[in-house]
Formats: sequence, structure tokens, C-alpha cells
Amino acid sequence: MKVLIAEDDRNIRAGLEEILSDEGYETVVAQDGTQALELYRRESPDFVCLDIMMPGVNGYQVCREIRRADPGVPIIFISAKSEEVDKVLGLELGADDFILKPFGVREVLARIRAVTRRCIARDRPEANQQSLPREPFRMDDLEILPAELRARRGDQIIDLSLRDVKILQLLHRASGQVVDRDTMFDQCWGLSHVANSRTLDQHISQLRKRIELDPKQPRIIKTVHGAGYRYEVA
Amino acid sequence: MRTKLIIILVLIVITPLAIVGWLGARIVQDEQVVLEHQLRELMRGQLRAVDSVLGRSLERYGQAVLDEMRPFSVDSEELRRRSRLSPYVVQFYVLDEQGQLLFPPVGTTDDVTASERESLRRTSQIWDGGVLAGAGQAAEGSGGVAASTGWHVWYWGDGIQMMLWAHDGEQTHAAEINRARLLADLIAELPETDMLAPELAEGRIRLADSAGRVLYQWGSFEAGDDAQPVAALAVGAPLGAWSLQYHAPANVFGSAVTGGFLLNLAAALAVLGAAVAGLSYYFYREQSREMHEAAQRVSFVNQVSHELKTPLTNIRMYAELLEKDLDQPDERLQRHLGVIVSESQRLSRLIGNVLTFSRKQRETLEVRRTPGVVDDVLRSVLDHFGPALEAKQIEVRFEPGAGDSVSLDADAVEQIVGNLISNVEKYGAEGKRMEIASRRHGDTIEITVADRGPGLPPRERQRIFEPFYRVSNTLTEGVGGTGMGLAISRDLARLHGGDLELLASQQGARFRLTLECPPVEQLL
Repeated sequence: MKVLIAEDDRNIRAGLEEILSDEGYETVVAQDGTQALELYRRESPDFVCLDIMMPGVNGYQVCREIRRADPGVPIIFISAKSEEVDKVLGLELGADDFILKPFGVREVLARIRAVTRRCIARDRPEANQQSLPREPFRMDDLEILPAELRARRGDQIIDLSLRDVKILQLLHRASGQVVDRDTMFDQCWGLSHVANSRTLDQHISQLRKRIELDPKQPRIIKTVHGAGYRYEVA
Repeated sequence: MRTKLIIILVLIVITPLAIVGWLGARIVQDEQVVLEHQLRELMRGQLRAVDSVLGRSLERYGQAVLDEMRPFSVDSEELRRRSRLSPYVVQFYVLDEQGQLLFPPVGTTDDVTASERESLRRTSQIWDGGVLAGAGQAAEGSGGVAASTGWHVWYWGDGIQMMLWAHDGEQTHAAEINRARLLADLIAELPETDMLAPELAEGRIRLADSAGRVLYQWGSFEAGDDAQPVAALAVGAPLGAWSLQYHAPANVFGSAVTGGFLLNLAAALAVLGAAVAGLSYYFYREQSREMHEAAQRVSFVNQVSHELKTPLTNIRMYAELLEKDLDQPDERLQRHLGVIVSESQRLSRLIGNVLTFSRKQRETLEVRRTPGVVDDVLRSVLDHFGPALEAKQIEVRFEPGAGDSVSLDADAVEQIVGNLISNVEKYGAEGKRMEIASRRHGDTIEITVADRGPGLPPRERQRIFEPFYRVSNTLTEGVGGTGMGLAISRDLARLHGGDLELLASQQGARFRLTLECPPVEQLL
């Protein structure tokens, strides 16, 4: 799933890029409105994160242009302007959500995931999203709901990232078999990323903390030393 | 605001002028009444003086008549002779003790002259009524002095007639006064033009008879025949049917009262008006300057708050990313990062509150509803506060019950609940427990946030919602805060169709937030 990020502040732009990449999104970044429109036309992203105050063409104008080309593509505005009139204008221009500065990682993730769920529900054929099976499946006592980017264990609801879902789907498809690091990296991070076992291990470690009852004795994602990871059906 | 200020300043100028003007008018009116009263008294005094002149003149006239009556005689020829010679008397009369007329002789036509007959006809009502019969008896009863005298007045013809009587112990002797001579003698005593008081020089005094006919008048003012007198006085007895009248120009009171006084009042009002207007202008300019400076300060705070957002976003975002990147938990590093994250969140809330308060001041605060799940918002806020609450060992109990997606302003709800939890963190930490519950009743969502800290005394329950109010006790000593959180939270709750209240609680503080959240279909 490809996301266009248009933000003039270098650090915020880099931070958002990192957050979204970690979540499993492919990102393209623009530092002003003109570049954003150019990248939108070239890359056809699945959704767009737009800063409002950018030099040259501002976020409202970019939003208007994008809406003219595709009324359905989700757009999230990122802004320090919290005045009601700004929100109203943004929403009237067709923005799907507003992320107000200063924001935290969790807030960005929550809003991005909400938009992603809508994207999956819309299932745009022309977009970049790789076919992501939407049917729920079980891994041990955990039920994974890809269309909702969530997992459920009893009454407990666990939020998942796009990448989490991809990893779990990959392991589920290869139930009982070892999935090596390269395959997992290719399938879940994409070819644009340089394979980095530390990044992968870190991600698996974080995922285990959220989905395993005992992360030190994992039942869903087991490590096969020197090879990769495996999900064993009980 | 400016129009309101101008209206207030105009009122400040007009009100004292109106009050002083009204008081001045009242003083003028009162002065008018006093001066009018004084002038009338002066006029009456003038008339009384004239009356006393008339009284003295009449007394002298009466004395002259008495001199002609003496020695008292009942001799007809003598009395006829006296009548013929007297300039003061028209006819003499004599009555016996029973009041029977002895002279002129009645009943014997030979003895009565034509003149006497005419006199008797003129005076018949006196004799028929026995009016003078009692005069002698009354005089005897009171000591029996021979020289007891009195006046008798009656109407005949075109006016009053006068008679002077005297009782000698046996008979009553009476003399009918020569009216023309009496009037001439009286007038001779009155002034020709001058008034006694210089203030009344513009007037005219009239002596009028019982029919209102002018008998004599003097003074510089030319009054019409039917003019109404400014002051009038009945002439003393026996001429009580006559009157003394003072006539004056119509503006005699007005011109005496106003004039210079009104001029002074107008000048005083002008000076007062100029002084108050000057002061008002000074205050208006000062107020305008202060308002301008206040607006600049608000604008500055607003601008700075916005400008703070970008660096704050970076601090918070990168701290959270760093926290996330720590694969091997390093307790010390985690703690340091936790401080950065929680402090940046605190700064975010503070900036959010400042901007919300600024919008409230500019009357641009409103809620913007979008579909959202209340419990998700609560989870998100709790998630933000997780590390801070954990650091203070506050156990959180969350009972979600608000149900599915509704129409709400998630940012507003997040801000309100954030302020409430921040207060628990700051003031209720010693209770070590916080309970948050949400419920839905129809279109109303109810959220309660309760702690087990020291709570608030009942008298503070309303005051804590006042802007900038902070409870002045050990609770807030050494604890930071602006005093804006609860005020703007209540404003936001009310804008959202609900309210924020502090409920009575046996232990700790218990806030109830209600929000009007219709189903999403109503939003579409």
C-alpha cells in the first residue's frame, strides 16, 4: 500500500516516512505542493498525507487537484492550524481526517490504520495495494481480522499494522514450514528496502509482545535459529 | 466591543450632564417658587401699607363726623342745620333706646323734608330690621360709655353706604356718610405714582369698590380694565367690600427669577460637560490602547503556540520512535525517554488549552462532529497517559460502555478527558487508583472519571470551573497548572450539548461528563 506524504518540515516528513514504513506502507515523499501533485500523478498512491501550510501550492490546493482526478482516494490533512474554520474547509474539500500538530506516533498510527481499513473495504483495483486477503484466519487462540487490521483473543482486541497482518498471513500460509528472513523481508517490507535482519527481528519482537500470551515462550511466531520463523499448527 | 465602549462613554458624559441639568432645573423651579412667594409677600405688604393709610384716613374722617355729631342733639332743627352745613354727613339720625327712629320724624308727613324722606327710603332696611337697635344695648352692657361708636355699612344703589353711630347712654345718634367726600378724602391720602418698594415700581395698585369698579389707581404699569391682579387684599373694615389690587406685567416673576441664574447654570453645565467628555476621551483612548495591546498579546500567544507545534511534534514523535526502537529494555533510558514523551504530551495539552481558550475569547470556539467511537477516543487518551500514570503507580480501571460509532468531536472529547486525567495525575495520585467508565443513554453519552485522592471541598465545586481559578490549598502548592483546563473543558462539553460536573463523592474527585452524541445517521 503506497502512501504519499507531503510535508515541508524535513524532520516531520522523515519521521512520518519512518512510522509509515515501519507499519508496512510504501512511502513517497514531497517537500512542497508542486512536488506532491507531480508524485501523485506518477505514483498513484493509495492515500495521501498532506500538510496544509506548504510553500507554493498549499495543501488545500493539492487536495482540490487530487479530488478532481480521483474523488475516492483517502486524504489526511496534517496541520498546526487547529482553528475550526481550517478543519471545516479541509473536510469540505473532501479530506477524510485531520491530524493536528503536535501529534504522537500512536495518534498517527490510529488514524492511518482507520484510513487503511477504509481503503481495504473499498478495495481499489487501480491502486498499488498488493492483494491482501481479507478473510479472517486463526493462529493458535488468536483470530486475525485482516480487513480490520485487528486480531481478537476472546474479548481482547489487538490493533495490528499492515505489516503485522502481512507477516501473520505469510506465516499462516506456510503453516508448519520455516519462512526464511529474505522471503519475509521481500514479501513484507518490499524490494525497495535493504534486507536488515535486525529490523526484522526487532519487528517480530514487538509483534510478539502484542500477540503472544508469553512473548518469551511464543506459540504463534517461533524462531528457527539460523533459518527464520515458523508457525506450527497445534 | 468598540461600539459598546463608545455607547458606555457617551452615557458617562450624558448621565452627569442630565443629572446636573435636572438638578439645576429643579433648583430654578424652587428658586422661582421662593422668589414668587417673596414677591407676592412684598406686594401684599405694599397693599397692607396702603390699607393702613386708608384705615388712618377713615379714622380721621370718622373723628370729624363725630365732632359734628357733638354735642348730641335730638332737636330736629339743629340736626337739619348740621346736615346742611356738614361736608362729611348727608343725613343725621337719632334712635331711642328701643331703636325707634326719633329723627327724622317718621309718620308725620309735615315734619319730614323731601331730602329726609329720600334718606329714610335709602336707610329703611336699617330701621325696619332694627339693626342699630341693639347698638345702644350692647354699648351699655359693655360698660355704658357715652362715646361708644361704630360703623354700619349697607348696600344701596350702586354700592356700599356707610353710617357712623354713637351712643350717648340714652339715644343712638347716627350720621350717614357723604360717600363722595369720603372717597375724595381717602384718595387724597394715597400716593399719585410712587410705590413704597422699588421692586414693585413696574406695577400698578388699584382701589376697587364692591362691584370691581376702579375707584383710584396709581403706578407706571398700564393694566387693562379686565386684567387679573397679581395680588389682592380686602380693605379693612368697614370698607371690607372694597379691595386693593396689585397689577404687574405678565413676566414679573419669570424675569425676576431666571436671567443670570440660567446663564450660570448653562456655563456650569458646559464646563462639566467638557471636563467629563475630556476624561471619557482619555479613558477611551487608554481602554483602546489596552484592548489593542491585549489583542496583540492574544495574537502573540496564539502565534507562538502555533509555532511551538512543529518543534514539539518533532520532539514527541522522535522520542516515541526512539522508545519504540529500544529492543533491549534499558530501564534508565526508558525512564528518560518516558519523561520526554510525557512532558511533550503535557506541553501539547497546555498549548491545546491555550489555543482553545483563545478561540473561546474570540468567540470562535465550536465543535465539529464526525463519526467516531467514544470508547476508542478514551482508549487513545488512556494510552497517552499510560506511562505517566504508571510512573505515579496509578491503577487504571476502564469500563467501556458507550457502544458504536456516534457523531462527536473526537478532538474536543480527547481534550476534555485529557484535562480530567491530567488532574488525576496531578492532584489525585495518592489515591493510587483512577476509574473511567462510559455509558450511553439514548443520544447522551456519560463518561465518569473518578480518583481516590483527597478530593475537593463542597465550596470549591463550582469555582473550579472558573477560568484561571486554582484551589488554594496544599493540593496545588508546588503543582503546575494554568487554571484553564476545567473551564475550557466545561465550555467544550456544553458546546457538545452536554455538561461537565463535579459530583459529590465520599472519597476523591468524581467528574461526570455528558455529551450529546446522536447516531451517525443523523450526521449524514
